[in-house]
Amino acid sequence: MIGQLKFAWIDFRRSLLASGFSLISQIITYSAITISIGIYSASKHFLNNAINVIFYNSFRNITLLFIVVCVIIGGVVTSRSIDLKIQSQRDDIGIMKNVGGKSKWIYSYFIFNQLLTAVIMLILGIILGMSFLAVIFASFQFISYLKFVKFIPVLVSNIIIIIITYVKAHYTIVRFVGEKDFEQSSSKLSNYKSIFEFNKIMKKFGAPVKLGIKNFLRSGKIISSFLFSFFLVFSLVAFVVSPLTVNETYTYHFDIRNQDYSIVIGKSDSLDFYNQSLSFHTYENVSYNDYLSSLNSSFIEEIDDLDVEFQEIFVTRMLVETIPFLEIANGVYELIGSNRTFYATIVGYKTDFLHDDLFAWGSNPDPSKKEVVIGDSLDRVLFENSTVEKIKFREVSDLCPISVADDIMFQENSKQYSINGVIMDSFASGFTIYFPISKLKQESITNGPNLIMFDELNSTTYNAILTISNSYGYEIQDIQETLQENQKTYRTFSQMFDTLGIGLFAIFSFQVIVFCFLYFLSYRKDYKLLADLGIKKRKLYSVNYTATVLQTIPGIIFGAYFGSIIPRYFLVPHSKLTLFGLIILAAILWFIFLISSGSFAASRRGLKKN
Amino acid sequence: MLDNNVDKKTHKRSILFLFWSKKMDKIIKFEGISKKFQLFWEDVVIFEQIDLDIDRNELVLLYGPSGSGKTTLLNLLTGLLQADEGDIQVAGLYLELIDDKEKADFRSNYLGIVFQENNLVSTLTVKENIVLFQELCGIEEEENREEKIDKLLEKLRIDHRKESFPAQLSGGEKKRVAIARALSNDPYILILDEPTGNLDRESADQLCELISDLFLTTDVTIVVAAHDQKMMDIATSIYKVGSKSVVLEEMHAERKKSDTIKYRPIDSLERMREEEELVKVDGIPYTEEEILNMTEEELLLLVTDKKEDEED
Repeated sequence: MIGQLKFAWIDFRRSLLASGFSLISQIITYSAITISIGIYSASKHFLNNAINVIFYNSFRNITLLFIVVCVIIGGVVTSRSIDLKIQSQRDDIGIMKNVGGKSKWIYSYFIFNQLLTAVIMLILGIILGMSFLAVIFASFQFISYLKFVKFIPVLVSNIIIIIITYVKAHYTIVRFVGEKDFEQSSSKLSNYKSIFEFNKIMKKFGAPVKLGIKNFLRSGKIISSFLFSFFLVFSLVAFVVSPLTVNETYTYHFDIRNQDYSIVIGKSDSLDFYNQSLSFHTYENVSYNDYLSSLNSSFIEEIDDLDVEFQEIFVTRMLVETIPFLEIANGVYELIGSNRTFYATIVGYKTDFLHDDLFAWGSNPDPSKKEVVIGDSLDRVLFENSTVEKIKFREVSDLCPISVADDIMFQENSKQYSINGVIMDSFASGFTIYFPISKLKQESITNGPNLIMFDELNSTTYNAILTISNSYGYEIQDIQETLQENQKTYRTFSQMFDTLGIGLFAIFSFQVIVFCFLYFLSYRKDYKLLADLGIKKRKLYSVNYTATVLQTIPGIIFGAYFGSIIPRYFLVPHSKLTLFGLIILAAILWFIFLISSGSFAASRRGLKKN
Repeated sequence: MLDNNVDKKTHKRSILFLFWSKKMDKIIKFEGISKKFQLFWEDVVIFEQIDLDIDRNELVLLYGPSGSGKTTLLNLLTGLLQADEGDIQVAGLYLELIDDKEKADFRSNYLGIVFQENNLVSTLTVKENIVLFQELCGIEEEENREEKIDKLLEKLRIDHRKESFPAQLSGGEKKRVAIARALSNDPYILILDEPTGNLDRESADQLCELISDLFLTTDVTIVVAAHDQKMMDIATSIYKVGSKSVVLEEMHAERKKSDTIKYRPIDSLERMREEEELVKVDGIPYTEEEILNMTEEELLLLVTDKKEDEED
């Protein structure tokens, strides 16, 4: 064992330069996994206190996607590079076998060689990944979240890659070691059927493109290359597009929300609770059956006399579990989905207990089970035009013929909606409830509104309101500040996320160059022989370039397109991405650039070496 | 001809007979060997019913034009190829009766092979190549391993290149390294395939001298495939390979080694004694002399008893 280990170490040291690309690709894999898990565990902690569950879900889904993709790409790239590394050592296996080496010795030597490399690269990869994460976190002032990065999942995922490495190496080595009548390397044109065909091609030196196409068609890797490049580009584009989309979508909704209200008036307990709900906060030790102070009816009358627009709201404390997917039946609500628990309920209503611009949506909950959700619409168009089933307007008259006496009925555009639940806009203010309307109605009738909101006040009306409020002992609070503060935190977080996504994109992009090198290496003998026979290097570059481009371009185009579309609808209910077309184009161009430079670099280096 | 169904026990018995009858002088024995290759739809016959006997203390030269089958003959000898017909006995072992693992053992413990292409591992230095080979052969690391390798390299006059990589060596130097590697496991037989093939005249002559020197100063039997005049001058017997046959052309008994070279007993016999295959009732192994003095019947009885004991 010591002998094998010793020689594995010697080989590792000696092949550092020769197999630099494969080693770098392994470091990239391990560091990318570290980064993705780092983002997951750190952001999960941050987002656990998020005021918006969809925001939370979106980012959590992205980070999970990152992890899965990193592990898959890592596995594929690692096993491919192992294949080539062992293939390049095939002659050594032959030598060892011919001089009488025992298969077991040879096997353990090559396995040690692979595992040693994998372990060293794993350590370097984790260090690199953590450093990258630390730099990004520090630059966005999120460094305190670095301590939440869990080391065990990082190690476990990377060990999965090592296991893949081991299994792949095992089968490849067993295959090579088991080969009988071992033939020493000879200059054979693996890609051409016979010497006659080769001679024909030799005469066509003027047509490197044709030769490249022939190489591509004969490679037997058309589908696997397509799938590989498709998946790689798909994931890389998704790495960038997903955070960008989530960021833009939320920025848009935050902005709309911030235009809404500027001040809120009410008793201090109601105001405090409201502020808590708005901010980035966990609700601990809050009793949900505690009624908050309601507003005096004569106060509302006085304000009403001022003839200014205002919004009455009823705020109540309530245990809310898993938002927004609560199934309501007969006034009972049940937990489905993730198990986040907090206390927060804010329901806006003015007349008839609800907003003027209430809207109905829902496939989840199901209208056929009388589970329609109503929200506080900030951007009606958003819902009307949404392609996402979940937030489409739904006509429930047919689906739900049962009329429940206690349920609120309301008309809109001649569509009749049967409502037995309320939800506030899940995007903007960030808190969402689903609640049996009968209970809400009952509570609000009993207690009356406990807060009022104003926007666009001038100084005269503001002073008048201030005087009235003071006479009733109510507090006035500017909620804009709280909202803006939240917005800032989330925006910084989203930007950090964008940067990490771009970082993952950038480091994984390197795999494309590695792919070019690996692709070239698999034909090195052919190209070398062609070079020896007199074909000009420049023409060989073209042959290799054509074959590489053909292998990758279809995958790149499809990958970039789907990579920029699918995650958007998968992650955010209504996604916004202004530069969608530009991103696809830039991604395609970037990958073509990488393929070109990778292919030329591989040809130059590969042919120079020999 | 040996029946393919002969079990391992019988095979071991045959070694005993060989030893007992002192036939071990014949270190290599080909009996009715045929070998053909399939080239497209045609069979190309390389050898047809060839016999070959090589003594233990010889320097055998196989010569013949390119494509005559010299390398094939050596590959048959090393077990890298299997004969279509006939028996090959090397150092008492019937090659067709041993499996791949045993063949690997056989090559690493009995033979030193110098391939036409040298087959040095390019990423390892001269010294590491030799150490690797020793590791492959399962030679335990001794304290004086380094010294031994240094001595060997000195003997082959390449001690100054021990830290060089194969790519940094000249053709002659590479060949010497390959020989050093082949000798590093103390083989019984040294096999050289075209050792002077790619060398200039001067280096080739130097190498021939070296081989002659090795032959005369060690107990190794040497089989060389070559077509050098110089090699012909030192070989104890010369075989012509070609036309599907191997023919003894010349024999030079006077060139044989001096009596001062003491031959080691062949390892497999040693091992058999150690493995208690041949022990007396009290558990003490028979000595070489005791076995040699036994009659065939006595030996047969001994082995058969042993076999019956095992079956019980």
